[in-house]
Amino acid sequence: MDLRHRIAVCGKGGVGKTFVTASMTKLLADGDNLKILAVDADPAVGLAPALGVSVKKTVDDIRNDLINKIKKGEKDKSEIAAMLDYDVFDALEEGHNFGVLAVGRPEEEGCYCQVNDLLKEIIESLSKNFDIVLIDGEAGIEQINRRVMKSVDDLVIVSDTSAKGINVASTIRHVVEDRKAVNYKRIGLVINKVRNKEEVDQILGATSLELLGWIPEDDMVREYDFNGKPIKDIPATSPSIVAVQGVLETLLDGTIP
Amino acid sequence: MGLFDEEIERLSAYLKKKEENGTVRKTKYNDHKDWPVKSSIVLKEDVGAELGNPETASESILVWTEDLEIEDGVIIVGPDLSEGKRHLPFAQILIFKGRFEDEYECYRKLRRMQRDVNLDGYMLRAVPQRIWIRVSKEALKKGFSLGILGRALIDRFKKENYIDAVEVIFVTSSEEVRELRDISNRVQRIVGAMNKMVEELSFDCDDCTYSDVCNEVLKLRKIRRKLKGLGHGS
Repeated sequence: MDLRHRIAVCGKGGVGKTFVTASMTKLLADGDNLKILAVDADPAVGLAPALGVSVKKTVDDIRNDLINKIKKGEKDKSEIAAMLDYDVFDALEEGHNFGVLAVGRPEEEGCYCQVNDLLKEIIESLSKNFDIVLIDGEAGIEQINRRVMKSVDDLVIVSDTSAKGINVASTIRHVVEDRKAVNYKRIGLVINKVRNKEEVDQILGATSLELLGWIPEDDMVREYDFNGKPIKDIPATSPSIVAVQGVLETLLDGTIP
Repeated sequence: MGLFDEEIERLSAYLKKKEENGTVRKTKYNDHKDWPVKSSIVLKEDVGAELGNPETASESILVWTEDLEIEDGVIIVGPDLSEGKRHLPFAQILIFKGRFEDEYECYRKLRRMQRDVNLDGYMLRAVPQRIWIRVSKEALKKGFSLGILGRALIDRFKKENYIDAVEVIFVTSSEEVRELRDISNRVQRIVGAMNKMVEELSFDCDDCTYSDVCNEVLKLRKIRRKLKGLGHGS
């Protein structure tokens, strides 16, 4: 199956973006016939541990190493691209049917547009070998465009039930639409940590974002978080994971097995 | 003598020594079948064989000659992929016979071409002096071998009208890969000197870190004279 579907997940800090991205990765990878690339674009680098793997190198580590190499003399663009490609693949942490790439945080100031553009090209090119790309973003949506890729199929804004979370979701939507921060085909809201359906109805009265799904507050997620256990180990029958499966079905139009 | 002729002679001596030890298999281009073309990514759990990964010994050498005798063929030093070892050290040596007028451009083109070979179930990552390949379990089951890879490389390079012959050498045992380090470093120094001259157009030998290699390789001095003759530099 060749879906080549790209989903970016963003939202205010602490609303459960990493939970949503990691659960989606787990559900899709467990299906056994899809290859998933999970990109951690949040500088907090929480996606890899949520998937039970550890990151030894981030894309920004590679970027900074390469800037030093360029300063020492390498000038050929195709050779620089090959070096980045080699290092990016080396940085890819691999699990069952998935790979995780952590973008990290830039440490060195200055304009290295050529390196940044090449890195983005390499992530784009790497992603072509995977059926589905999931990006765990941050509230600053421009980061996805600037550091990962400029176009996605779905932009999923995650919020909890707080007014602040929903406000940030609306702001993200305006930033995306006004500044054309990321190209997308579909944008929608996933409400996380919901106690009852009435909360969802109330929120929907206050936002025009399409509802892609809602995830009930789940003690098991709290327990896994509290004990530092990987999200990927939460049983698929847990109510929150069942809800994420529903979101995936909405996004992928029932094409996932 | 050509830019890399001395290193090609050292490679011949290396192969001769390995032949005496009985670790060399020489094959002809036609001994190997065609393989379907497809860009592939091979993740860890699908790996049937992995060669030269960043944790193991790896060398990548690309050289050419206009005068020495080179024939199309694939030479394997050490075990092939069918011999059961999942992780192997790796060296890939490409020796070309042809006409290489613009040495700087030729080197770049040939490096790019070796990365352009896409085969179903085969993945390559390459940086100067290191090469890392993965072959999927499925490709191995279908009979993928280093000979098939060698043939695909030869096919790609011989599309260029300035290439007359290509000898591909694969080395897959640690000791034999390590023995290539000196030659690989030397080739890299020659390429570094050439790059510096062309990219920086600076011909001041007193300050140059490559003056030793320029003193020894006549062809580098010819490139220098050619560039200066074109009015570049002082």
